[in-house]
Amino acid sequence: MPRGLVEGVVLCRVGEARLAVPCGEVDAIAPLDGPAWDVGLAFGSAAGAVEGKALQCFGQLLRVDSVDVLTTPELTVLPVPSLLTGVADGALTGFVELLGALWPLVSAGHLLEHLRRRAEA
Amino acid sequence: MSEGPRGHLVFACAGSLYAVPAERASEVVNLPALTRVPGAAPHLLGVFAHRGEVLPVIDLTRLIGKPVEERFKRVVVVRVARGAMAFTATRVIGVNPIPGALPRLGETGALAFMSGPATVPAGECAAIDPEGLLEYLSRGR
Repeated sequence: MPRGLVEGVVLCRVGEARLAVPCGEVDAIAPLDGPAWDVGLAFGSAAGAVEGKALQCFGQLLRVDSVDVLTTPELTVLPVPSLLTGVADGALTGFVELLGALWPLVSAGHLLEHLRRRAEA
Repeated sequence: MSEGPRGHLVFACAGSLYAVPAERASEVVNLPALTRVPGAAPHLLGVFAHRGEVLPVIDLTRLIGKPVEERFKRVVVVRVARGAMAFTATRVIGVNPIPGALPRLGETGALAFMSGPATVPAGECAAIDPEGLLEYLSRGR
């Protein structure tokens, strides 16, 4: 699979895990103030965290512990290994190398769907 | 497929021995810090970037249902036509011949892609079919 590019990402930390969401999929970032889908669920954490930041995406809220916005014009996206194709209901779209670490790049829409399915399971 | 002996890289993982066809084992590297993957199964410990590609790390003990709290220091990178993956290892034994015709260790799950036991100088090992196992794991198992 060829490498792609992404323009700007929101870097999110959830416990010891981290992920990146394309800036174009995030409408707003605000302190958590109400119900939100807890991204920690995708990493096996228990739901119930009430502090952190909320990312508004597609009219819904994603909860994370902290965020940083990186507006680098073009970031190289490393492709998803074949073994991980389809993981998290297709939310994983690649990886970016930033700040000396590898960040899973996710589609916010698919991640919301994945969290909804996990919550129902 | 020939049923004659083939050279396999034998390695230990938490007290058990495993083997992969030597031509599929591309290298052994020290286990770096891993990046966790959202939605991944427990046996997928995480990923790391290596030579410009992202490699998933499979904990063989968890994969076959033997959770062992052990800190792995190395991984064996295995490459097949469809992609690459890395298996946790505590020690690399070496290359030994293993017969091609061995019974599968299970009918379902990951054990269906392991055969043996094969006797090598270090003991008995399970021979991994990396193509089949990657295909199986790619289906979200």
